Amino acid sequence: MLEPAVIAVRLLQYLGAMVLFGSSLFFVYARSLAGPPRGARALVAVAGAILAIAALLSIAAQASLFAGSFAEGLTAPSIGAVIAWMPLGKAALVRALAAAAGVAAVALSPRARPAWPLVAAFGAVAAASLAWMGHGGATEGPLGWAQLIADMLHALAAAAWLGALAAFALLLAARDRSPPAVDALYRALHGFSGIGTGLVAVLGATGLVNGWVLVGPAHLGGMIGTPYGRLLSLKLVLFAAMLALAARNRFRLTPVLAIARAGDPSAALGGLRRSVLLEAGLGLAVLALVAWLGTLAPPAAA
Amino acid sequence: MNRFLTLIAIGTAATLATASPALAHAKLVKSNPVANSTVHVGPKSITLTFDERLVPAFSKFDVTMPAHKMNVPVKTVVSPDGKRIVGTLGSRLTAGAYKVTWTAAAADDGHKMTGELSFKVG
Repeated sequence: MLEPAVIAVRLLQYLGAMVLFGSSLFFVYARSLAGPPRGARALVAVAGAILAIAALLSIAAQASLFAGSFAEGLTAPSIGAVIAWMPLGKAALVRALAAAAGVAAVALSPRARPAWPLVAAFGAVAAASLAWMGHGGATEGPLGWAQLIADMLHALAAAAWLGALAAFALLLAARDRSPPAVDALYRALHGFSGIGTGLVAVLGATGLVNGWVLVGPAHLGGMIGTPYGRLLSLKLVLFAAMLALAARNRFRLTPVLAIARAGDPSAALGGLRRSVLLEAGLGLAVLALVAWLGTLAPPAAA
Repeated sequence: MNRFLTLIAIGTAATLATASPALAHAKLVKSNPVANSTVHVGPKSITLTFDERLVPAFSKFDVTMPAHKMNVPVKTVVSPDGKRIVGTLGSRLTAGAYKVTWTAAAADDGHKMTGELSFKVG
């Protein structure tokens, strides 16, 4: 009964951290935009609030799992023991505090000029702390540190990608279709192409390190026979589909928008909107798989 | 710059190639009395040693005499390094068969493992 709840709480944390870090970072580097799009502050603040609540819930869930029931788990000694003794408990507390600080930074900064760099900094702490939520926190020795660092970079790169997708979805939903607005959007899309390539490189390299540690070359052949291996393979297929969509955005749809800017851009914008929403949907599915994977025994543990 | 990157790559590869992944899931590695053994002098304490750091609040064991369906009073504490559960018995165990049922909550991976072992005094 606890298992689906644990997976849901993990997914909410992934989602919250992706937007809190990735979307606020996008508004830092997307300099062509005159200001944040409508709903940007609400998107990031809600994501931060969800992350803070889900991180606290994850501590309560861990305490209940260990104590054997919610009644015994939701007590000060049980929750205190999880935070005091478990690296993942401390990481969840840090994540909740960083997320709350990010929400405060959004709420307290000027409406026209939100303090995106500060929000992104809190978001980076929250996203990096996700490394302790998976198997990265459970490997020992120098390899454990290599895996933790790889996990942090993986989470940060994934957040930068998925958070940018959420920001693009907002931009493409905007009503303002004036030539300057469309031009700013085009330049944001064009500017992201280089960043996106870098993010994919980081995701690939850190994913390989993780694959080596958690699956291992010796288990590669038999991987598909395990539930972990099947979910991981499905994740890689979805990732490949996201890459294909991203490549199509970059090499087909964005250049089409460049040409359409002069005339009627609505067809080009519609194509981009569908593509970005589909890519974001695949990203959501990948996060759900990751939330599930973290609860299963990886092949190297067998 | 390139030499620096090469060094990092070699270092990473060497670390990955030589280290064997030690994924946490607390395992019982040693016990006193030894599992399935017969001891001649009844012990005053029982010690279980694990390969992982445990969370004290959720790690303990019970001792029973299955033949008599009887619980043996025991007070358990986790050692400061977190790897041993030490149970102090009210008095030396008398002759008979005993079963130890343990619960170990691993601090690093969040999994709760359980197990049991038996020994005899006599």
